[in-house]
Amino acid sequence: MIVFKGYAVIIRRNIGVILMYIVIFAAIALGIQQAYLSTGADKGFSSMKLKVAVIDREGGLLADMLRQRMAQDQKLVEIEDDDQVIQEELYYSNVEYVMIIPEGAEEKLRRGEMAVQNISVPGSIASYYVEAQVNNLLNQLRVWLASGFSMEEACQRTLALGETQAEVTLKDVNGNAGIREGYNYYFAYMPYAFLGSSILAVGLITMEFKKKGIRQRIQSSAVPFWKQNLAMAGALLLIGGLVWGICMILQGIFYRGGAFGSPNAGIYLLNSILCILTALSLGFLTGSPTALNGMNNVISLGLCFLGGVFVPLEMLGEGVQKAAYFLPTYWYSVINGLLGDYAALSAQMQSTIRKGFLIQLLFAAACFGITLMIRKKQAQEG
Amino acid sequence: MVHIENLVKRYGELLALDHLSLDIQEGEIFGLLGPNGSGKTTAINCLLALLKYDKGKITIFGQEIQPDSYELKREIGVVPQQVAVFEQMNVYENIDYFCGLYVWDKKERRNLVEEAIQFAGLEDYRKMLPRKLSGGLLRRLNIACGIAHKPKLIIMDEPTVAVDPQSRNRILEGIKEMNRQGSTIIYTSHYMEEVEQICSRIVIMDRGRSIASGTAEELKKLIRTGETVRIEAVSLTEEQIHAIRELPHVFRTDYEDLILTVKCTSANHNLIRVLNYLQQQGVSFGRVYSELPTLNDVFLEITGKELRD
Repeated sequence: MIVFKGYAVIIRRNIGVILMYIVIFAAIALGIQQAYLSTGADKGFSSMKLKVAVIDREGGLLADMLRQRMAQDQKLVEIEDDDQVIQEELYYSNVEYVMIIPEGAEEKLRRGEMAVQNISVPGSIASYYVEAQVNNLLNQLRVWLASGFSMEEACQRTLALGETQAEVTLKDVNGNAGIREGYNYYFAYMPYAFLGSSILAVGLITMEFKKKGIRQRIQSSAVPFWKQNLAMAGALLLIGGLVWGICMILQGIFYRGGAFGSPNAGIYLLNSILCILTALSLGFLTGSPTALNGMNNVISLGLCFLGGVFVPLEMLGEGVQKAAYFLPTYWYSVINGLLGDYAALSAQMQSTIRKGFLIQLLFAAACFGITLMIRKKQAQEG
Repeated sequence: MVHIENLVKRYGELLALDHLSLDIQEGEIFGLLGPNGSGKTTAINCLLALLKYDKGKITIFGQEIQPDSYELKREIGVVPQQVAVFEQMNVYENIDYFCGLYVWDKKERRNLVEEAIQFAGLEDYRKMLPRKLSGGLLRRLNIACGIAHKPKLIIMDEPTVAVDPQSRNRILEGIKEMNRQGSTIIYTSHYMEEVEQICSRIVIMDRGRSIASGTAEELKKLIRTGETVRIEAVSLTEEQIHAIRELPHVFRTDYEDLILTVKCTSANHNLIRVLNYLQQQGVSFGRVYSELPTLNDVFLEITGKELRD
């Protein structure tokens, strides 16, 4: 008890700094998540309009129809019919796609030839969509014309088709109505907050106890070695509880209940508890008084990058993914990803989650084991 | 009380303890004297079961000490060489913490901590953090942390290193007081004056071995030097130095930096004989010192090197 009391006194003395670490890292995690959400990347589907210019050199029905049809889906901009002007407007992104209807376009269309020309920014993905849309329109026109309709009728029918709006609904394959909850993004970045604040806080607290003289005094005392380790574990849990508790309260506040209201709340909480255990074990293993900040950055950032916390796992190379397979952050991310995508978990998903829990637990146990071995070796070597 | 038998400890190729044997009786202040690296701290660490040793046996209060001899350890207090206190705990908390490693009862501990604070003269500093204490006060805190639980055996590893003379005297007086109160003390130092001043029995160590043991007087009797005469003398010739060496009871002379050092065996009128010779020769001389043998002389004669080397 007295050894734990020592840890508690030092935690109390450093509570301000520890809280500062937690708040800083949690705020960074929250900030990254908010920045991500503001890009709209969390939305599965959204429509957008491109700046399209239509240059009519023929003055026929086809040009009118194409202009009207483009105006339905895109944003029409007026530019001068001059090659240099067109190049400049494209260069300054004042327009993204320029459609030119040359003289004799209707005739060419009837003959099945390329009726319109286009100019766009090379390599622009968006312009491919417009081009596909234009080709589609021209094909529809050809079908009407081939069926015996006049150019006017064909154009009217093609325009009418454009007025029909397709209703898009996301299939609810995950039980979340297709939406990934905001708190899931926060949980995705949480390992960084856990690792960063735990390593620094544990290092700060255990620094005193790692001094040779103090270590020897405790070892030569009447307190059994197992009690010393128990006290140390208690102190780590106290720090872990603080870090975890604050991060959970923050997500509860920012997301109005957050993961507490999720049908998989238990899995969220258990996953984060295992993650904090890993962070604590690493913190104790690496909590060297010297170069604490440097080690903290290397370990927390390294594990987060390799584990898919900052970069989606799919974007990591195959080799990196194989290596990451043994990292607890990888499994944390896998589980969090499943929870984000699916509210109802299949048996296979549950099996993956159990496997992830086990690997995280084993990793934490291994780190604690190594730390205890080092402590014992240090005790034997005086 | 403490029995060390044929203790051998190796660090790779280095033989840190070479069949060291010691017997320490209850009520003694037992001095372990030796230069840095002679094996004093290694012996202490083995005694505290902090180090595994290769060979030998250590018993304390008749029981062999092991890393898990917690009941035995309860009776031992340790004052390490480096100041080992928590920087983030104040004086009271530090003493309470280290006392708590031996005494679980809070009420009893409170009394013991107060006694230790008074003993170390730290009454005015109980709420202060260690970094605000002077070097001497810090050493006193280091000692208070090791003795607060009133152990029967106190092991002090060079507790006065880097301490000003005033604090050193206070610490040495404190050690004698603890001994008067019934504690047996093992005291290691490379300061021979300290050891001579407080220790009832001394072992001189070198290269992990005990090279001599006994009281200070017994140790001094082991050597030829009974008196060392030092004289500031100008322009001594080789012949004159040789002649001084031939005087009765003189067995060694050195002349360096105008200081003549004459080592004599224990006898009367050694100084007068040397001075008479210098007067006869018309040698001018200044300050004259006559010193009784020190433990450094003992170490020098036995090992051929200075204790502070």
